[in-house]
Amino acid sequence: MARIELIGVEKTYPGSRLKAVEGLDLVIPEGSFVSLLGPSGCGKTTTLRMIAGLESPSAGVIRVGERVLFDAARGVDVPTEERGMGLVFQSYALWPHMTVADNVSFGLEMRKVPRPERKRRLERVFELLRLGGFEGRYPMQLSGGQQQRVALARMLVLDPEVLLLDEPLSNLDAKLRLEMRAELKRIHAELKNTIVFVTHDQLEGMTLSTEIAVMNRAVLQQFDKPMEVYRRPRNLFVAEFVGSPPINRIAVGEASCAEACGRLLELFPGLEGRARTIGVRPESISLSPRRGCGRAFRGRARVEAVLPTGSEWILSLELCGTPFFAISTEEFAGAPGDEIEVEIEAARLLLFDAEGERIEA
Amino acid sequence: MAESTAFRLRRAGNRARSALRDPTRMLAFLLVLTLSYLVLAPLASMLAGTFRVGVRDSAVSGLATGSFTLRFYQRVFALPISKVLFWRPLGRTLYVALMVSLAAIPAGAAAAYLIKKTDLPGKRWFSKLMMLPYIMPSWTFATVWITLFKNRRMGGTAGLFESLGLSPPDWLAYGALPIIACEALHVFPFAYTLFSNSLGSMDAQLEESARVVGARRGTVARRIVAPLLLPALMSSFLLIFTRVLGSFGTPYILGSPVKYSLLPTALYSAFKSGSPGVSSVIALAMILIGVSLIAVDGFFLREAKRFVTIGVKGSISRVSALGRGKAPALAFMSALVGVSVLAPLATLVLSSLTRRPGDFGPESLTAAYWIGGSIPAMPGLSGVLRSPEVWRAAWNSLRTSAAAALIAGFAGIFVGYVATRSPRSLSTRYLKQLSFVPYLVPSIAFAAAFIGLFAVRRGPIPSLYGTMGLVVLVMSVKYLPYSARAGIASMMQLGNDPEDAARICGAPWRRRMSRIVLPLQKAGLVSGVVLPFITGMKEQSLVIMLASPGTELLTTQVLRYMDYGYSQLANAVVLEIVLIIVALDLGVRKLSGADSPAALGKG
Repeated sequence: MARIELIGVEKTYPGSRLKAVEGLDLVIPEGSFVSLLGPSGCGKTTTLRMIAGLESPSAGVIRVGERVLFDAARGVDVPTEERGMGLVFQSYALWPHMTVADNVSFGLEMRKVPRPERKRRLERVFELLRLGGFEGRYPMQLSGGQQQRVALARMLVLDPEVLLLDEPLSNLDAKLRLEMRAELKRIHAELKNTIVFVTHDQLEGMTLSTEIAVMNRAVLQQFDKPMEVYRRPRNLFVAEFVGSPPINRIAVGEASCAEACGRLLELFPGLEGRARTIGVRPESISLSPRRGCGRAFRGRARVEAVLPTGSEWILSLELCGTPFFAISTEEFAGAPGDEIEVEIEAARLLLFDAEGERIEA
Repeated sequence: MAESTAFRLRRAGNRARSALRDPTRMLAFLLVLTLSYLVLAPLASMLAGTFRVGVRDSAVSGLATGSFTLRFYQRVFALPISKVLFWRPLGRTLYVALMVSLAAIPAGAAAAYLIKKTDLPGKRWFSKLMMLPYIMPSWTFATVWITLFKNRRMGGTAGLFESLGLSPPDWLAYGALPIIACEALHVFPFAYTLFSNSLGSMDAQLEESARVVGARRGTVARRIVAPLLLPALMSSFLLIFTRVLGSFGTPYILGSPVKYSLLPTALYSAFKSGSPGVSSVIALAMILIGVSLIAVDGFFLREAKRFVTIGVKGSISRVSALGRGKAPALAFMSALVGVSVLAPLATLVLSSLTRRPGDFGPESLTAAYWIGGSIPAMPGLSGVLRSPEVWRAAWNSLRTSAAAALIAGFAGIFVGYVATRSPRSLSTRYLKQLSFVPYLVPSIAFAAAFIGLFAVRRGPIPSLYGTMGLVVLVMSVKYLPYSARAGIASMMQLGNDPEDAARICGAPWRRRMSRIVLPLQKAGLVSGVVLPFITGMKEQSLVIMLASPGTELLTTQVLRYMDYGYSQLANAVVLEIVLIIVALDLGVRKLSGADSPAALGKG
């Protein structure tokens, strides 16, 4: 059915020597909600546009289900309008001269769906997206969140097997974004189509997806379930890109953190030579040590600053002369200047080699 | 409740005193006063004049000078002669404007599409060259046309085709067709600019979404792109109408030989025939048409707001491949640029170098029209570079344009300053409206109003008719809308913070102006001054009625030469003007890195 396969897909834009997407092999399972996650310019939007047919790959094969949509070697390139997908843009791209109803029914008209049927489907999608009453309005008369839902309705009304979303939430304010995330998850659970979602917001990727594809500099870095990506990042880039506040990164061999490095590496006999970077997630630094269970680093840290967010306490610490961020969900009663006991379990440390690849301990 | 009168008086007194001490308010007050006089008084006096029997009319009609009358309105609108005076020119003006729109808009729109939306080769060059017809004075095409198609009906140097033995018929040489062709060549870059702005700001994702949901290319163009270009189409229409209504040179040069007059030339003849009452009524009618055109445009702009595409990040305009259409597209663009830029310029150059048009033999080829001490067929005249009258006209053009540009530019900055310091005050709103008024009034009607007010001594102001001072005055007021807009924009951008910081440092108002505000406005001044300056250099409609021997400008000098049939001299002067304008335009663009300032102004 609607399993999306990308095999050896590459894209070089004319006039550019750099590849926008390089050697991409990716299988997006049917009914999954996959996020293409990465910093701007990493090739995620290009990948999405190639799936939609708005951009032709320079090499490779794209298949959806059994249908070949693109094959560079055989010269197959199905035009966008015949791919039958849905695509929601970041800007929503609502047609400003058409009413909400006209915007949504345009695609049905293109597919020559008879009028009574059109009306029925329109009603259904308006109900699904809670757009009832807005049919006669123009896009300019809607709020950002409403426009966003119309853009979604315009695609969902066609009931596409594959729904592509290009940063659809980034123009919304924080509260609306949270609501739309929940909405998207609800819609996905209800309609069960395959969704590919482009975002540079790691939190969005983490919370929404069944799988995440992390991209950087045109290359796929890791394709995994969100928690796997978080807990077992394949390399330093993924480790740093995912997580907020970001992972603490200690460069092995740098004079300023020699002591901390030495004591952390003692926990991993035999790996001293290979590990070049140690990654410590802020929540891995425990502020209430339970002494004596398993291999762990224990020491005293000095509190530099306390940043309460309301639900969490972010601490800026200095540990053996190295600055660290720690995060605690329990109220922190101390004050800057205090010395506190901290504990880091060995199992929660991440080690990376000279190439930035994670070392399995 | 009983707020005592004494208290209220004292409060009003305090307010007045603090206003007097506040230089910004003083400035606002002065601006309101001066601009009201310069903008409204001429119009009011013209209006009053249409109801009053003039000196000359009194001799004809026997009515007492100064008594109330409606005879001018009757004459213009309701007598058999009205047909010649007003109705026919009105009909022709509308007809010409309509035909110009029908010719220029498709051409401009097609060019915009090719340049913005396809992979047309050399598009950067095309887009640059296409702005030239617009930078050149609007009537350049008329002098070129005459040079090519003039027939025996007119004296002086023969037209090119006439001297080749092909005598062009009247309908090809003069009247509607040539006027339409020349105006269309001048204004199509306008349509091009409007359409290319529209196309350029259109989010490519609008088209892409349509394709995603299954629309083919043709459907996308018909259902999505075309409706979104509707506002550009409407604006082009109205702008072209406004311009035809305001342009004098082209209908004068091409229409007069066959008495084909449009409203501007009708107004001019009425004025020349010594009936200020009649010409004032025509001027008023033109103002009314101008105002209603702007009002309609404003209405459509507001309607179009609904269609405004929602602010987009990362809307990259994607171009489509022309494929087999490349050759026809290139041919079309080359023809357009050839006819509108290269051919006219070549005609001007060659005509100014040959005694007999089209004959490049040794007997005909000559530099006499440029540097000759005397020209055989034209008694008493010398080449334009040695002619004292051309030098005087050039000097007049330069100094009047410069003076008017400086006055308008500084007035614009001051209006901007007042508008930024007290954005919601009554005087700001009034000044904004007032500085826009001259834009509504067709140039020639505006000049008529000024002549009416300043032709005679009024209080401390002496009669200015026939002086350079009046030319400067008319120009500076007429160009105020551009400078005020530039001034408001650049002052708004700057904001109040720099001046307030200087104030906190203890700088008094005069030092704040001279050391902080004006120096920071240099860039704004450039566009607020240069644009009117360039516009002034090619101004004809506004000054034609003010020019007299001794106050000729380069542009009116061209018309004098045309009147005598001295095409070569006229064309040499036209070239001089074009060169000065293009040099200024390039220079300013080099300096400021901005868009062509001349392309914004009126021709």
